[in-house]
Order: sequence, then C-alpha cells, then structure tokens
Amino acid sequence: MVMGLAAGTGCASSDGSSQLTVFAAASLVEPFSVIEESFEAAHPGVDVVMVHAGSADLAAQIIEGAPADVFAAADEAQMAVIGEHAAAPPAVFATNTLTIVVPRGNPAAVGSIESLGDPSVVSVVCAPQVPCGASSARLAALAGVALVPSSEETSVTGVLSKVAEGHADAGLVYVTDVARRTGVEAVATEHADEVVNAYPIAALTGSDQPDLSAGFVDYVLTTGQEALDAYGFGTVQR
Amino acid sequence: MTLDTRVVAAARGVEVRLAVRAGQTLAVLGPNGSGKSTVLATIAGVLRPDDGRTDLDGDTLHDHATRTWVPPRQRGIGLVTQGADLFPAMSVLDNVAFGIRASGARARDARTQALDWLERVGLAGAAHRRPAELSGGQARRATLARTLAARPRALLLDEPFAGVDVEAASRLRTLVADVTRDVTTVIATHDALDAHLLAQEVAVLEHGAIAESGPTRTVLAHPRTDFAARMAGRFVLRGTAGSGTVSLPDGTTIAADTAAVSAGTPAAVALAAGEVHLAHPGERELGHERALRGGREPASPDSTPPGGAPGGDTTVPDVVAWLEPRGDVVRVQGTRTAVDVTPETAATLSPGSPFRVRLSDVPRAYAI
Amino acid sequence: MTVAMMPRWMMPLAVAAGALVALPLAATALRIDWSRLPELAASPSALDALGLSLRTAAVATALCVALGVPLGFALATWRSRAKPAVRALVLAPLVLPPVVGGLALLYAFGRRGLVGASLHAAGVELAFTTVAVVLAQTFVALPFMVLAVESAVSARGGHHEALAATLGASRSVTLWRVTVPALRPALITGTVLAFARALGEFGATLTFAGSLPGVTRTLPLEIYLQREADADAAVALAAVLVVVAVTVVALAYRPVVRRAS
Repeated sequence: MVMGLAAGTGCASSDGSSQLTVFAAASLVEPFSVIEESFEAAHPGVDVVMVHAGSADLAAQIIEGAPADVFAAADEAQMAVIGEHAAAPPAVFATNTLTIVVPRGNPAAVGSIESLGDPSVVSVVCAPQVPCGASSARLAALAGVALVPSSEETSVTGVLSKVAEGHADAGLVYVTDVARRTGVEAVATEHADEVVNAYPIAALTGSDQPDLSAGFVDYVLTTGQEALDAYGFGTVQR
Repeated sequence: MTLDTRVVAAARGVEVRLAVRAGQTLAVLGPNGSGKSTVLATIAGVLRPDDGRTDLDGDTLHDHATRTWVPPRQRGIGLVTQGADLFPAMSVLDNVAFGIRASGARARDARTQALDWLERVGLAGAAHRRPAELSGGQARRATLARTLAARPRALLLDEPFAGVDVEAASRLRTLVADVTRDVTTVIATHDALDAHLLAQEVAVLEHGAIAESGPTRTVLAHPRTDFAARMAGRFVLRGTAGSGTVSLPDGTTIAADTAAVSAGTPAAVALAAGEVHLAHPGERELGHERALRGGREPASPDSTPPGGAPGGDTTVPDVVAWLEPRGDVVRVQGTRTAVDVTPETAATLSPGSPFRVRLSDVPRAYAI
Repeated sequence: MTVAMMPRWMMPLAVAAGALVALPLAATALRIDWSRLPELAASPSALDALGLSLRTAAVATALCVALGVPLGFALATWRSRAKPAVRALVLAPLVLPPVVGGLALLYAFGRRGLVGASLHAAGVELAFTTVAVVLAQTFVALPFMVLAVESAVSARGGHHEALAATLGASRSVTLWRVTVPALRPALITGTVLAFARALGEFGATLTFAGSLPGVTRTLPLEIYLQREADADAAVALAAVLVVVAVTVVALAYRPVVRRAS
C-alpha cells in the first residue's frame, strides 16, 4: 500500500516543481508534518510527500526498491538494515527516552519501574526483537528489575493502546508517545535518561535529486530541531 | 385401520374429504396439480393444512378445531413419493433398516429384518449398493420395502409408478397390489389403470376438489362428470332416456341399452375413444346435415365397421378440440367425444374440423 | 463437473487466478534460505508458536463447528424479516479489519468491557490468556462455517427429513443420519476454511490477546515479530505456516475427492 502511494514520486517534473518522498518512522508524524510545511515554504516548487510506517516496514520497502529520497528511522538498527542504500553516513537527528505509562488516574498505583516486576500488576512492553523492546530491556537491567509482562507487543502503539483501554495497568513507551495519546499519563521513571534511543536520517542512493535530498536531511538537522523539541524529542547540538 | 380425513389447504386451493375403509385401497385420481400430493402430505403430517381433521382408526391425528397435531413420526403412516426417496448417503439395506431402527430395534436385528423385506421386493442382491446405483424401478421397490418395514398403520403412495419404465412399472404394480392387499392405502395417480388394478374405491380430484367418488368400477365405467370421464379415458354423452335410445340435447339419438333407466329421465352413456370409430369421411357432411335436422342417419352397409354390433350405426357429430399423439394412433379429442385414428387420417384434421364418431357397440345407459 | 460446463474464454482467466495466488508463494519460496530453514523452523520460539497456533486453531475450529453449525441451521430455517440483518451481523467479522475485530472483542471481553467488567469482578481474566487467542480466532473464523452451513441447508428441500419423520425417526436421529451426511461437503468446506482462517489469524489476536511467547504468541505473531529482526527467519516461518495449512487442507479434502471420482 505504501509502495503504491510512493510509486511515481521522487522525480523532478517538467514544470520545474519537484517531489521529495520521505520515508519516516510512524512516531515522527507530528514533528515531520511541521517540518514538511516549513521546508516547502523555504523551497518553492518542492512538494514533500511523507510516507509513515514502522521503521522495519519502510526499511524492507527501500531494499525492495521503493522510490524514496530520504529515510528517517526510529532506530539505528533499522537504518543499518538498508546498508548501502544510504547515500551518506546516517546522522542522528533526534533522541527519545522511555517512560512508564499508565491509564489516566493510575488505577494500579504504579509508582516506579519496580511495579513492572510485580506479577499482580498487568504490564505490557515491547518485544525484545523490536527497538522499543530492546530499550525497555536495557532500562529494566539498569533498574535491576525482572520484567513480567502479560504481553510483548510488536509496536509501541500496541503497548499504548492496551494501557489506554485499561487492558493493562502499566507499560513502557517513549516519552513522545505519551503526549500523542489521550487517556494515559506518564510516571517518572528512574534511569530513563540513561537509555537513549537515537533517530538516524539519511538521503538514499535511489534518489534522482541527491541535492534536494541532502538538503532535506540538513534541514531536519538544523531548522527542524525546533519542531522535534516541541513534540518532546531530544534534540542534537550542531 | 379406517382412515378419514378432511384437508383444507387454501394457498394450494385444496379442500377435500376422503375416507378409506380398513384394509382397502383408495385411488385418488387426478392430473398433475390437482392437489393429490398436498392431500397425501397432509395425511402423513409432513404438511400442515389450514383446516381439517384426520382420524386413523379412532385416533385423531389432526384436528384444526381442537388444535390437535400429531407429528409425522408418531402417526405410523408410511409415505412413498414420486421423488428420489432413498437417503443417498446410506446403503439400500440401511435405508430399509432406518425405520426399524427408529422404532428402537438394535442395528443387527434391524438389518436382518431389512434384508427380509428386500428379499420380498426382489432386491436382496442390491442390499449393499448405494441408492444412486439403482434403476428407477429398483429404487421405488426399495422405498416401498423401507416404508413397509416401518410397519405403518396406513400407506400413502404418491404416483408410485411415475418415472419408472413400462416394464418395471408393470412388475411394481404387481408388487404394490400384493403388499397393499390388507393395508389401508391411498394411492395418488393420474392413471385410471392404477385405480382399476389396485383400488376398490376411487376419488377423482379436480382443481383441489373431489369431482366424483365411489367404487372404482362404477366411477370409471359410468362417470357422471366430464372430468371423471376424461380421467377414466372415456367420454360421456348426456341426454334423455327413451326406449332403447338416449336422445342428446342437439337431437342426436343414440341406440343404447336402457334397462337401467326409466324412459323420460336424464341418462348418460360413457364410451372410450377406443370403442368408437371415425365415421367414413364421405358420410360426414350428410350425417352432419341430418343431425342438424334432428333426423337419424340410416344404416349404410359400407360404413358399418367390421364385426359391428347391432345398432352400431349410431354416429355423433362433433368438432375437433385438439389432436393428441398416443403411441401409434392419434387421439382426436372433440368437444364431447373422442376417437383414435391413424396418423394418416389425423393429418386431414385440425382443431375446428367437424367429424363424426360411429358407435360400434350399444352402450349401457345409466341414470344421472 | 465436466469440461463442457466451461467455455474456452474462461481458461485464461482461470490461469490468471491461479498465477495471482501461485506467484507470490513461489517468489517467497525463492527467498527462503534453505540451508538455514531447518534451524530457523525448528527454533524453540518457532516450535512454541507453531504448537500454540495448532492448538488454538484446533479449539477455535471445534468451537466453530459446535456453534457455527447450529447458527447456520437457525439462519437457514428461520423465517423472519429480520433475517437479512441478522445474517449481515453474523458475517460482519468477514469484512471487519482484524484489528477492529480485536478492538471490538476488547470492548466486549476486555477488563473494562461490556461483559469483561463483570468477568473481571468475578475474578475471570480473559485478556492476555490463551483463551483470548481462541476467542479471537473463533470470532474471525465463525462466519465461514455459518455461511457454508446456511447455504447448504437452504438448498435442501427437506424432502428426506420429512420422509425420515414418517418412518418414525426423531428430529435428532434425522439430523445425524440424514441431514448431516447430506451436508458433508459443506461441513468439510466450512471446517477447512474456519481452520485456515483461525491458523492465519493475526490482527484480532494481537489487539485482543497480546503477544507473549507460549501463551498468546501464535505463529503469525511470531512471524511478524521476527521480521523486525530477521526477515529470513520470518520467511522461513511463513513457509512452515503455509506447509502446515496446505497439508491440513489436503488431508481434509482427500475423502471428498475420492468419493467424487
């Protein structure tokens, strides 16, 4: 489906306008829509098309030849997956940290990460195979807690919706996710700042407008930082 | 087991009352669509009528007035239809054993009994075949065995010979005559022959109502209604009895045996198409004119059929309604008579053509 | 079922239909790293997931038979103007995106759900249990059984059932000995489709039951998760799923093929 959307894009058209297709992780929807608008304002004639999906889906599509100009991943491992499809060494443009999320009102009175090791608390986390799960495991290790999840979700969205629906008492998600979802609240989480998830971005070799692609990457690393900060992402100093 | 039933099925335009004495067979004679199957299905309890009542030997099986309704499985009434009755997923033997098992018998005993029944209908060799492997006649015999094996208190046979080839139908008829001898039976059929051979009583069904009923011989030999006559393969000429004659309303006079009727009273004669002949074409116009004048046609030696009986000089004028091929002859169906002719003769006739039939026998007149 | 039923112009379309299904499967087969297949397919997590999938799909299929067959009969024999509406409702899981189906189950049986709240109060938790997996699979697979049975029962005139009654058989005896054998092809079709659908169930399970190894992580969920880390492993597991499904379908259909020949 995403491939279909992206098909036929990424080319400079005859009337001088051009389209830039950006594959970006699902968690970047809000800041990247702001970046899209301001980039287009700064580059008349350029239409930025955002394709959002899970980083793994996007990486797989890039490998299969999807016509994308830029890839912004939620995780360095997925950026590594595309390998030589990156035109230049990927640059980290944002960071994100984990937090405990609970249903609004915190019915199970979850106070710290220790609660996620308590079998009487129904907790959900990401599976270790996915980036948020790998981070969660590191956080638990730092806090010395053995997690006893009721479910290992394949995405942050899975964790978030189960907590929001009251299906689970607590979960581990990214700070930025809590802001995006109603019905949940964050609980202060020790050691969270020690597990930092980095978002890398890279222009792609498949792009037939390398300058514009590189320009967008540069824009995200500079002007775009404000939008990322506004949505709770950690920014990078340049 | 005396069966007495009244069936009202408004949607199908059926309102019928039938009675069968214990051990006797009643033929319900009627064309397709006359309501025969509806009546039988209602008696069996597989169809629920709008109104009516059915009693079997003192047991009320259905009474609309008292909201009595005995379900089919408690009625003990066997039903054989003209459709594919055997259960296709089980062997012929298991089909026949089905009703016996349903009555509580053990599988082994049921099979033994079923095999006896299959022997009786001449199908023991086909016990382990599937119904699909049987011919039409064999399937009907197996169905009959299955129905009888359940020991019904009454038997309903709905067109039991339909869809069976002539030879097999003949064997089957003998079998039915044998197995229904002491069973209270209703046979629905469109063929007067079945009534003649199998039933003591007949009820002629026309458009969901009984046109005529009574002892088979009486009804079929001396039908009162044109419909019953047609079902019996006959036609009826009605008029007034004279002395050795019956005068028709159009003035035609028929020589008849009037021993059973009083002169001056309404009387009729019934004749079969095969008992009369087409009058010689040469005398057609002449006879027609005379008939119109009310005169009686004189005997003419060349038109007297071979072996013609005394008085066989009566001819009746008629007009062709339709022509119907029947084997090697063509039935000329007139507005009041019918006669079988050769195809060559039929080629000269068409609907609307005038013709005359010659009576070769002196029919017996009966009161109406 | 003879060739005479089929005009020639249908053949290219039939081939196209076959290719549409066969090509992606063949392409997948080409991607499989055969040297790693035994190791990937026999990994503890894969075997766990496969075992769970087979167990839950079997139970869900049994539930589909036990519940779907009576519902199919009821729909076929029920005379009411509300019937089309009820049928549409029953068949809704067919068109509902599985994730929405999972949400719907959550709203019904989740901890804060319509029924789930009372169950929770009574100490019964469905969420994150294997029971939830079975429930999700049954939810999405049931319509296949209902549909198959309903159309087959509707197509029957009731002639043989009526005759069975005149032979003294009760409705239950008639059902088991007359009706069910006649419905055999439809029952097999419904069962196979229901099992296949249950085995492949992903969205509703993920949303409603979660994903925990050995408890709720069925093979499709394991495949989805593996893909994040190792696409080769995901493809290998998918091959296992396809082989299992095809084997089950082939075994179930075999007796019918033999009878038809």
